[in-house]
Amino acid sequence: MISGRLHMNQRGQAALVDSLFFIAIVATICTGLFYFAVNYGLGTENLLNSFYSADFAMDSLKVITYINVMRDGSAVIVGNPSSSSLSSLSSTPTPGGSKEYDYLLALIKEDFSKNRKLGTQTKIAIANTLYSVLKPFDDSVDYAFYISRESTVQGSSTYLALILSTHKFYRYEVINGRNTPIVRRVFYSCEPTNNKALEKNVFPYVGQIDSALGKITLGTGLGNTSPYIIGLHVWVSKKVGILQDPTNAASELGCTVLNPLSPTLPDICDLEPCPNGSP
Amino acid sequence: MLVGVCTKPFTRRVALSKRGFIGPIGDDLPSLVPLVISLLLFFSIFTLTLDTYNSKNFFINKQIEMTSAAREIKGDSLILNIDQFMKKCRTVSGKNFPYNFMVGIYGADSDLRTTVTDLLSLQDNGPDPNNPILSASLAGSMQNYFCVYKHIGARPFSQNAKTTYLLRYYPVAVQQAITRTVNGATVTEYLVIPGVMAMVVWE
Repeated sequence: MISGRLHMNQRGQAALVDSLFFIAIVATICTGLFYFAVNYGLGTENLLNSFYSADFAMDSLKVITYINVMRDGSAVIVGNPSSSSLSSLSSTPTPGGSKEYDYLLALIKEDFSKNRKLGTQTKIAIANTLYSVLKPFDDSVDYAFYISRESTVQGSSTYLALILSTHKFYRYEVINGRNTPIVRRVFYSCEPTNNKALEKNVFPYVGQIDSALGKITLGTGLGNTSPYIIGLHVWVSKKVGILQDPTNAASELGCTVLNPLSPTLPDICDLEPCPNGSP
Repeated sequence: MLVGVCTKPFTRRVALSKRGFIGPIGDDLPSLVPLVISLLLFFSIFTLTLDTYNSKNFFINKQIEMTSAAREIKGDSLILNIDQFMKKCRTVSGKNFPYNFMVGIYGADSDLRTTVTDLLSLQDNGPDPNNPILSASLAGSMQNYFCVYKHIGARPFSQNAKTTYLLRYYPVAVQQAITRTVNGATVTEYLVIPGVMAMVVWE
């Protein structure tokens, strides 16, 4: 094909060049096929994973609003009816005759109706609920839960409550001859100074966030109610500078640590100073 | 003159050709090698691509079916009782679900590292109140929040089998009955506890 009349004697070489052209074309096609094989379905898989993540966040938020907690906010009941927590619930006598439980939302509404704020006890109940619901995934996720006014007022904070839960790295310790990081889950109750505190201080640094939002009504009496938004943001746990110490005075988040106030939250008193009388 | 000019080179060319001619195989062998290699390469990559395409399609389809089945079983993320749970399981399997599946509900305090073992134990040995999967009374006997669906003729799920399986977790709230003594009287009350629905789908 390539050879002209003057090169009729080079038949073998011409065929060789033809075959090299052929292999070049085949190599190009194969590269295309390989690229297709490697990339096919990645977008769909990402989409399915994001569906799952969104479902996960929404399910968690729903469960938080459904479940019962002890009236004093001290604990959430978990496990089989035969397990110790439920057995003690059914058998332990208390001055009132029995231990009382209620829906978390009922506690929130009741507390809000008193002075349009949420007290520490209710915030601990929320933290306990979050901890119980997401406990099976405790090692891998951090989260923020908030209740905020449905308001568009610029500047001022619209948060009624903001509970932030992250893994805090304390130090390395040699355990069984290996340098092991000491990390605990810490719950913070935050009072941000502006209504974009999460968007400015947390979201840009933690990567992909799965969010679920819902709407509730809170009020102080009949006809005196306002719509509030409850939100749960879940992200894969990672070491982020600003989240290492949200209690820092310079932080816009304005957080305080909740762990020492509840015996059911992870104990951190062996790692940092705790207030006197804490469990 | 003209004849001489035309004839001489022609004879010379023939002579040269004869000198370069090795034979039908000898001449074409060097070009056959790349041809064969390229054909082998093409068909190998083509087969690989087709296999990948099919397996990825299968995997995606399995995920889609699993997501829709899980959504149907957990409903609004609130499981009111074991009867409702079993009915939803039957609804999904009654639709000729294209894969085999097992579903179990754990309490939120459970260790999920043993999920497959726990589900296998219930599949092989039947209800077990000591299994970490939640249990409740159904028709007078304690049953676990567990259901399994297998095609006719499908082999039981085995952890050691080479079959790939999908495992996913979904937070749910489960309503459980407890018996309490209030003012000397025994009453049955219902409380809603956090749980995790684990679903395994296999071929």
